[in-house]
Order: sequence, then structure tokens, then C-alpha cells
Amino acid sequence: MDTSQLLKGVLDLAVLAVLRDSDGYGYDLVRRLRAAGLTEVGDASVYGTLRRLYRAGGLTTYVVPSDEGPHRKYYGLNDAGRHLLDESTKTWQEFAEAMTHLLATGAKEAA
Amino acid sequence: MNTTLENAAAEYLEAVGDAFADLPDDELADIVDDVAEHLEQVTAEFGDDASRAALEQRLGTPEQYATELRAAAGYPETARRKARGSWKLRLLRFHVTWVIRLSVAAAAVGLGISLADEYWYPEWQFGAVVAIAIAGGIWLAVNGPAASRRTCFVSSQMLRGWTGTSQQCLQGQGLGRPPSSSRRYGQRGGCSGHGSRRRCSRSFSARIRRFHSRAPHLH
Repeated sequence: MDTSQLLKGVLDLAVLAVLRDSDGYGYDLVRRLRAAGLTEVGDASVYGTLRRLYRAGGLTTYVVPSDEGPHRKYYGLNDAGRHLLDESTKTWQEFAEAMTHLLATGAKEAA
Repeated sequence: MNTTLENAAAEYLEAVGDAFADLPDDELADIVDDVAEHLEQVTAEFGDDASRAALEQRLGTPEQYATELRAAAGYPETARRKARGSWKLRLLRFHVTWVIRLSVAAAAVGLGISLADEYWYPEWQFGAVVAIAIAGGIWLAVNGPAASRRTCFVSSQMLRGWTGTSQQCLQGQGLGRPPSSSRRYGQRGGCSGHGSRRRCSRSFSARIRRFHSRAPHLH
């Protein structure tokens, strides 16, 4: 199965989840997602997802000066973002549970 | 960073920027900011091996990168609106406008303070207030919350173009030429004149909102 297709549906949730632990700048979040096992996540997809979540009002952003190079734009969750994370987590858990059950028992027994 | 790398990243950024030229100024500024920061980090990882080919191997072509970002960001897939002139000139104008706004605000505050003090308004002091206000406006535009480091990006382009020096705030972009011809400010595709620019931006925002209302899982 093509993992990148699966990723498209859950990238919002994955980005919100890595932001729950601590704020981060774009490339930092790409690395955290890969380290978490989402190895096929596309760089540009993460940046695009951040823009969309920001426009939707779920993220705050601020600039942190850096000694080594350019300033970095950090993103963090606000209340709306945390609410979105909670809601999406519930949706995902119900979905994953149903899929897991279906795969374990087959459609006949599940019905 | 070596020269090849700087040129490769700058070319790549320029091509990505072209693919977003249909977006309103503030959104375009944010994206160019993000992509510049991203390219900087990726090229730093590559070290001496950085080249256009290495960037494309890692990130795809600029067109693929832009398509992927557009899809994830929820922008319309294809740029249906014609680009409103050169995106670099638009960004420059956007940031200069911010400096002017903040300078005027700072000047108003400074003037208020000087008028409130009856012993303190000979003409030369008023000139000094205005000069400090403009400096304050530039400082606010560079460091303030509203414009963040966008202004740094643009000022680096301006200074690079005008003095040939390389800038510390965003190394390796090398994008900018100063606005050599002001007529290009007037070329904005279907949007001409200053007043209509706002309408264009608004209608684009409206399209984004409609787009989002068709994707309810976001909300």
C-alpha cells in the first residue's frame, strides 16, 4: 500500500501531535515526524500543512533569532489547535479501531 | 556556504516563488520566508555537495515542491489568477509600505510627546523627532511582531542589489535587484490601481474560504 496516500489524510493530525510536545520551526517538525516513523513525509507537505493550520486559526507563530543563521519561524498550538487535536485524535482512534477489528476478524465476523 | 550552493538555492527559491505569484502579498511573503528558511537548512545539511541536482533529488523540482505545498496548504491547485507583476517587486513594495506605516506611527507618537512639553519644540528638534521616528519605523519593521524577519529578507535584496554586499540575515538568496523601473509596479494582471489590489486580495481570500468550506474536515 502506498504510504504517501495514507499520510495525506493524517498529516494535519501528525503535525498537531508533534506540536503538542513543544513548539518547533518547519524543518525541525519535518525531522521530528521522520524520527517518529513517518519516513515518507514530504518536506513541502509539512510546510503547506503549517500554513493551512495557521490560516485556520489553530497555530501561533513567532520568530526566534539564531546566532548561527537566519531567524527561525516557530509554530505552536493555541487553544483552537489543541481543541482540533483532541477532536482529530478521537476521530482517528475510532477509525483505527474499526480498521484493526476489520483486519483481525474479517468482514463476516465483524458484521 | 560555497558559491554554487548559494546560486542553486537562490535559483530554486526564485522558481518556487514564481509558482506562488498569484497569492496575495502577505501570504506570498510568508511562503517565501518559509521556503527560504527551509532551503537554508537543507543546503546546510548538504555541505559541499549542494547543487541544483542535489536539491531536486531531495525536494523534487521547484514545480513539484510548489505543487506539493499548494496541495497541503489548501490553495487552488492551479494558479487561476494571473501573476500580478514580479513577485519580488511586490514583496519589496509590501515591506517598504510597512516601514512607512510604522514610521508614521512612531512620528505621530514623537510629535505628541514633543508638543506636550512646552519647552521642547524648536524646528531642529522636530526634525530630530522625525529622523528618530523613521529609524524607529525601520527598526520596528525589522524587529517588530508584524513584519518579523520578512523585512530583513527584502532589505537584504535591496542592499545586495545596490551595494553588491552579501547580507547576514538571509545568506544565499541573491534574488534581488532594486526596482529599476517603477512602471512594473503598475503591472498586476487583472488588478490595476492601488484600490483594486485590496479587492483582488479579498476575492482571493474569499476563494480560499470557499475552498475550505468544501473541505470541512479542517474545521
